[in-house]
Amino acid sequence: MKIVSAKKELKRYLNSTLSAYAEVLFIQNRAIGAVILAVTFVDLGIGLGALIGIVSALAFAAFVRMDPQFLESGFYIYNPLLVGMSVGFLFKISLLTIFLAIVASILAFLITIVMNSLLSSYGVPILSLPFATVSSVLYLASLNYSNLFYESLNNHAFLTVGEMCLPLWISSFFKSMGTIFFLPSVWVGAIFFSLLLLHSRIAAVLALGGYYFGVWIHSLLSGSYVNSLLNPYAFNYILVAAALGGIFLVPGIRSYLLSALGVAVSVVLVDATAIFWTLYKIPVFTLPFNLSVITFLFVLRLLKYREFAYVIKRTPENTLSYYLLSLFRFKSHESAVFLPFSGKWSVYQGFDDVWTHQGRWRYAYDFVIRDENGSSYAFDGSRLEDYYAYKKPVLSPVSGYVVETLSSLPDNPIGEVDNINNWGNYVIIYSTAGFYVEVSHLSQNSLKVKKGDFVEAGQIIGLCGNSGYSPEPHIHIQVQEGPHLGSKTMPFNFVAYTQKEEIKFYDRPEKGESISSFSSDKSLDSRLSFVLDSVYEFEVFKDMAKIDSFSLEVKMDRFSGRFFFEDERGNRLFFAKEYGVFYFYDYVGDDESYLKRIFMAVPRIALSGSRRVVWRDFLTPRIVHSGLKRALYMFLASFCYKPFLYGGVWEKEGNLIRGEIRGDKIFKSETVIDEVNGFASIRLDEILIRRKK
Amino acid sequence: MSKKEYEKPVIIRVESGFSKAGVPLPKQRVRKSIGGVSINELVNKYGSPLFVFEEKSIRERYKRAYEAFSTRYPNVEFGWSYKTNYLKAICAVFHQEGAIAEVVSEFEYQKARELGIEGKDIIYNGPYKPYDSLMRAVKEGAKIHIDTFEEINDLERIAKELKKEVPVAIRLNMDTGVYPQWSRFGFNIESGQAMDAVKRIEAGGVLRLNGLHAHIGTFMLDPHAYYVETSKMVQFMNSVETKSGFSIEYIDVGGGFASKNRLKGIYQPPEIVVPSIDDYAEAITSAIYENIHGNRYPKLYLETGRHLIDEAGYLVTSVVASKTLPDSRRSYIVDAGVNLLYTYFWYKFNIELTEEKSGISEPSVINGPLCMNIDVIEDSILLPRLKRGDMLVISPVGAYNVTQWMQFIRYRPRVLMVMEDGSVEIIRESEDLSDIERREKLPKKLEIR
Repeated sequence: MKIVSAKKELKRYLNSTLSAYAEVLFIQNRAIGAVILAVTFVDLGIGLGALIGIVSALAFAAFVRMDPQFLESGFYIYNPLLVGMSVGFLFKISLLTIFLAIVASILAFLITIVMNSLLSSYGVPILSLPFATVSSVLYLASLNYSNLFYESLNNHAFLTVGEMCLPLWISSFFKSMGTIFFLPSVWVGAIFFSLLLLHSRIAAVLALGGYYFGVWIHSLLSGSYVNSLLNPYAFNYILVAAALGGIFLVPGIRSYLLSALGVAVSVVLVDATAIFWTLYKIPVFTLPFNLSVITFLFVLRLLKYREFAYVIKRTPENTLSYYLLSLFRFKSHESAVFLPFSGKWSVYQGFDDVWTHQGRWRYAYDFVIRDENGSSYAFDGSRLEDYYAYKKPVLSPVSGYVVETLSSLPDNPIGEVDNINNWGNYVIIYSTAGFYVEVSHLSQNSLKVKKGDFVEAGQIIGLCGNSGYSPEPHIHIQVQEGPHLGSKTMPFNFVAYTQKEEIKFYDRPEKGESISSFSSDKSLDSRLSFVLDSVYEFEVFKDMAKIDSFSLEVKMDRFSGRFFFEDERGNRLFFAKEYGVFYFYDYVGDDESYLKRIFMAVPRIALSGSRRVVWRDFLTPRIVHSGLKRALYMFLASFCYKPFLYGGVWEKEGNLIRGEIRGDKIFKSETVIDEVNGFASIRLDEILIRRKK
Repeated sequence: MSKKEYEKPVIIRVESGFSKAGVPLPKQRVRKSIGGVSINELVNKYGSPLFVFEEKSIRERYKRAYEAFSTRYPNVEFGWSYKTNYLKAICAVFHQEGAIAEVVSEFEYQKARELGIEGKDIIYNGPYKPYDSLMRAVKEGAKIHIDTFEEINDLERIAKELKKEVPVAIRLNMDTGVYPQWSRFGFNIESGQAMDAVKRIEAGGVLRLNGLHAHIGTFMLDPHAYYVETSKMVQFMNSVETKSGFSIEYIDVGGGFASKNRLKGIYQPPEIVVPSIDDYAEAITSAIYENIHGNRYPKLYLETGRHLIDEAGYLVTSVVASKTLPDSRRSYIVDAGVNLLYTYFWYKFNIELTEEKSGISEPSVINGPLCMNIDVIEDSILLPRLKRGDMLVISPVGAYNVTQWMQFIRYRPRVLMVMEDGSVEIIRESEDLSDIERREKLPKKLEIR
């Protein structure tokens, strides 16, 4: 038992080591990390220095009993790695220098944790700022260590081998790529660039573009093109461009422009710091990169910039795909609420409407019930009881805590309004998703909840009434910034509602439109409940012939508690079920997995018990295509996503869901929900995935 | 001008009370058309008597009832109670509106399937479900509501034979404060029998309980009874979900809502005593909200029959003869009798003329055409003097009559449906001898000649 767990921990340490190497180039891929590790041994000192940096940081982490799970991403130890390298770069390997490397990398590790806990509350990364700080400190200190200097200053002449056979404007780029790892060699740089290109076209193009843009600006300012190319700190431009253009911002035209700005800023920073730092014989390292990127990100994050990559995926392409899917499938930039009623109601006033939905309160909806003739009342409409909406249940639009209520105001007779207590009787709920929602004009003494109660979405909170400034019984709903009555409103969507036969997700009805509430069928809901650790076996058929088989296991992410299916090869398909909708929202893994096909075949399922329902959804080339096509389309999508946002229509009749996805061709899917649990079969074009029981 | 027929003079005792001024001229109740189509024309074209249903009225009543529930509760569906009226056209209208089928015998099950309703859209109720029909219902995925412990055994046998888990519901009975308590159906909650049934099903291991059903009575005039029923069902659901591993996906509160018909023995008019559909909906849905935990709402099924169809059906009948009885009441013999009007046992029907008549109203009796003393449709009504060929419209007769009518002495008449666009369709032809004799066999020896 002990050996097994020791092995597991060792594997985690190994993983974090490899991740740390790749992380320097913003790559999340341990295989690439391993290649980089091997390449660093071109120079024994640098290779060893890096390893010493990592091992000492990890050993220190183990010594202070830090959870190895935190280290796995490589995030905490790529700074010690760089510091170790900088020691290896400056000095020859000896006992003394090894000691120095150990001390310096542990310092880098400590500073990483300090800076991260300071900056992470602002949601901004610390990048290699700890490295730039510690290495500067180290170089400063080493000025005093004459003992070290004269014996063991490292000589890197061999790194320049063969650079003459390439024109300067090419060789200088590769050299800069190499310099990121203290290896200013054309060939090493070429390898790094190839790795980057293999990993992400967007990142590679950003590296190239950023470098030449920076050099161009520098040459304009300094007047010498050659000097600009030879500038040893030009690698900063590469890092700035990649970080802003594709890693921390979602790739797109706006982000590319910002990254160009960032590069321009870093040119100035490089030159300024170079002058100052050189006085003390310290290389500039990555300081300009860190300063410019962190400043940009700090400000953008404060502004809640829409294209800020709140979720960073393995590649910029994947970040873009995730962003597009969140934006178009879930309107992730706005909050969403459930309909506050049951059955079919009609929009009486929408956003920015003519009567009361204006100014600070323009983001609100009013609903009434209308009959087939469009009237909201029976008989002559002179009594409250004539109105269809009157005393109908009002349901909680979110799950959350009740923060404020009022229920004592009378329901005004028709023809009178209360313009002192405009809002009438109301309930304000603080949603677990972090916003406030207010429902008002409730009927006198009809409230079923009180301040401090926790309500779940769909639970009854009161009855529709005619209190406050209300010409006729109706439900008013708004999402607002604060917990107080009359707080400023914010735009929002309704999670799901039915309009004729179509279920709309995260949408807003127009004024006058009739919409029906959407409620999940308890049977479907429990059939699409996936219990942790259950395994589902599938067989794959093509043209009736069995071609493959695989199994899925239901698992939960250790950190986030999110659920996913995992196949034997470790590919992961993340799913969730809420508000009567089952959906897949993320896929992590290789191109060829059947999990990706499942995502594509049924990205979302409305758990509606109705006979027939239809809904629309979106996918990206990342989910639909594989190989070169995926790479090319996602690269192009960063310039203009519209042609690459693939719309689809799904139709559910009983247990059968038919889908049609309009990609670069029409894909057809057919999914059957099992009678008892899970999926019975999934067909995508000619591939049939069938559950083996 | 023909000579007026002589009739022996009689003294009519006019029971006043309508007006202190003394003129006993009650307002004649007249219905000239059904769904916009003249009744005289209908009779001229299709003969007499006639059952007439009005499509528009059925749809309106269904929508009204559906809205009453769906605007109060997010997950509701109606099961059309076949026994109330299982004429194909009638069922089809309800199915088009979105109702599923609720059947109580293998015959009704077959009827629903024949009409094109899938097994999963059929609720199979009733105290006796023959084994073969249970087998079919299981195979076709019907919602089976278990009534007895024997039925649990049958279903377990079927589940084992088919090697599949069978979802089932159980019927419950309980005290809702109304008399009589329908305790002969299903399992009793208060005595613990219902929970025993749940445990029995769980112990069997091959059935999965996913629904609860109850039906507390018929022509229920007190919505509060439904409040009690639903509360007890939801509480029972809560305890089932806590005490067993079952998840209850739906509750079926049955039917029994009253129609606007005047019950014999109840003095006030139906407009006063019969609750509106909103009253029933309010009682049922508030009982759910008050008793449920969380927001996982089970689907709510309703098996409303009478309330939806009764008032959309009319029986048009014609006077064939009249005479004065010894007690001086006027007796009319009409061509439709109690063989067609099963509900006359409970109802005092609304009887209308098809045109205004002059003359004073006199106490009258309406007798059917059967050679049976009990064939009395109405034994006390004030009518102006009618003659042969004059028509009467009897309503509401949409519920139970065209299922419980008898072929007795006479053939059963045509059934028409006045469509939404004003056209008229025959939805059941009148019978002839071949219908009745088709199943008969005459032994050779008994043949005449």
